[in-house]
Amino acid sequence: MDQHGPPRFPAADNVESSGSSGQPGEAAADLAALVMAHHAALYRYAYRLCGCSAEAEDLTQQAFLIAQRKLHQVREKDRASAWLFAVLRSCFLKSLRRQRPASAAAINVEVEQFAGPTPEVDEIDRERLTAALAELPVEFRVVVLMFYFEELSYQQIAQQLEIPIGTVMSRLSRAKGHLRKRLQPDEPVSPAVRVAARAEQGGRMSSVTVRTGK
Amino acid sequence: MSRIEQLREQIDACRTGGDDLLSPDLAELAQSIGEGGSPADPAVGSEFDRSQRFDRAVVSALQDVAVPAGMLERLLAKTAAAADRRPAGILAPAVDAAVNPSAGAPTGDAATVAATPATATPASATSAMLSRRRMLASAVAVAAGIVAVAFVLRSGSQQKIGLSQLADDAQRWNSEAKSHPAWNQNRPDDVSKIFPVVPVLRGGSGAVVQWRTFRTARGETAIAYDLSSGPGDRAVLFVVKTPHRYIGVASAPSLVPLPGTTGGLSVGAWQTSTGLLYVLVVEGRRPLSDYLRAAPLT
Repeated sequence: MDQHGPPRFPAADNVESSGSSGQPGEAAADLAALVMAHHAALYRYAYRLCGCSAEAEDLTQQAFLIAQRKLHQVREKDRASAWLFAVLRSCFLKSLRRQRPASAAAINVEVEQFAGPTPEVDEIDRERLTAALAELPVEFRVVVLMFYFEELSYQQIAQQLEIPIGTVMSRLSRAKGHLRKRLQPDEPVSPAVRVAARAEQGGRMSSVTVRTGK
Repeated sequence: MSRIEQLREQIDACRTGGDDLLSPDLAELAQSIGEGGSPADPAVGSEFDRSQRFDRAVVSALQDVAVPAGMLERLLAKTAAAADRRPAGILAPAVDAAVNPSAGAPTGDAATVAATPATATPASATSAMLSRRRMLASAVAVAAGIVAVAFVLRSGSQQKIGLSQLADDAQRWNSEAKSHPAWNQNRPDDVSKIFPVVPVLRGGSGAVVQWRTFRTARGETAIAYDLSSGPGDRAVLFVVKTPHRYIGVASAPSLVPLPGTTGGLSVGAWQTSTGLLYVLVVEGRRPLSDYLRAAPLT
């Protein structure tokens, strides 16, 4: 089992360097290289986390500005991506804590265990996927995106979020069950999906409250 | 509850192409799908395979997000601006020293004023008032110094650079590029949107073997595109985003080498109207035309 996940942010001390000599010009070049190499992946991750292009760009920028201050921690090029993902996720979670609670317009969505078999899909409907993600409460969305986007194992997710492995497995399974259900080709588009899609068009993803087991 | 439902969390915990099934937490699933020679449950195995295919489709769809136009440029500008900001503690003493050479002495007027007791005598009050005046004068002088330094820096931000300086720069960049170990091997698709090479290179972006970013001594952001195709063939195209005017260089790809380069180098340079400076450095005898499109572009 791969136990060598990316370092936890902010204690990302064990990531190696891309060979910066420590000179300011060299550091700036290293950062520019990081931006060029990783900006697209980071933006996509940010967009999937928050569902809003403007906020996703802000998060991407924040991640790189933090990287600029902690560039000395990014010492291994092939792990820079994991480090940046962790930084960006941390920025996203911090931004959530700064925001006000869900408005009265928040909707209730049940994240239920989808008992049916996994649908056979050749291609995922992008709009349905975006809407299905928007329906997920943030603690479920973060776990499933860490799994899909950061390609972390359930143990690594538990370690980084500092929650029990059982909770990660449960959230991951429920979130994936939700996606399986919503991405069924014959699944009608629910009012919640329409609300989420509208919210995405207007700004960040809508806040939802969810009744779940964990 | 079916066997699949019992194992649902374990199935969902497996990454596509990962070795998660080796985990003791997922031993039951591994046994059910026949990992390690155990008797398999066909229904579970089939669901496991479907789940993995579904995950691959989801990952592919999640990646399908268009990056906003101009975002890379905005990010580079923001990070460059943040890098250029100097801490006040670095600039202030230098300005202060330039304006008031004695300011570096630790026994300054501020210390005197701070130490003045509340029950000061008229003489000491006068002294304190003079000290405050001196402080005010010093503050005005420092502010004037900051303005002067800012003016000098601003004036310096748009230099005119001659051919001999450019030839020296090109040799230095090439020398540094040769010794630098860290190059990007992936296609420079995003980078070449800002530092375009397709219009000028014979082989287009396909001719780029590897690339890396760097900062020039003047703080310009630049890319080095390595065009070397093998032993004995070394060529690097430097594309520099610059506010400076390079005097004497062409405004379109030039096949005429710059004068003044040594060390067996041929250097071609031109600067576009958008401020991009292109410098092609070729080692050996191959002409610049081997790398650049023959027809000058505007």
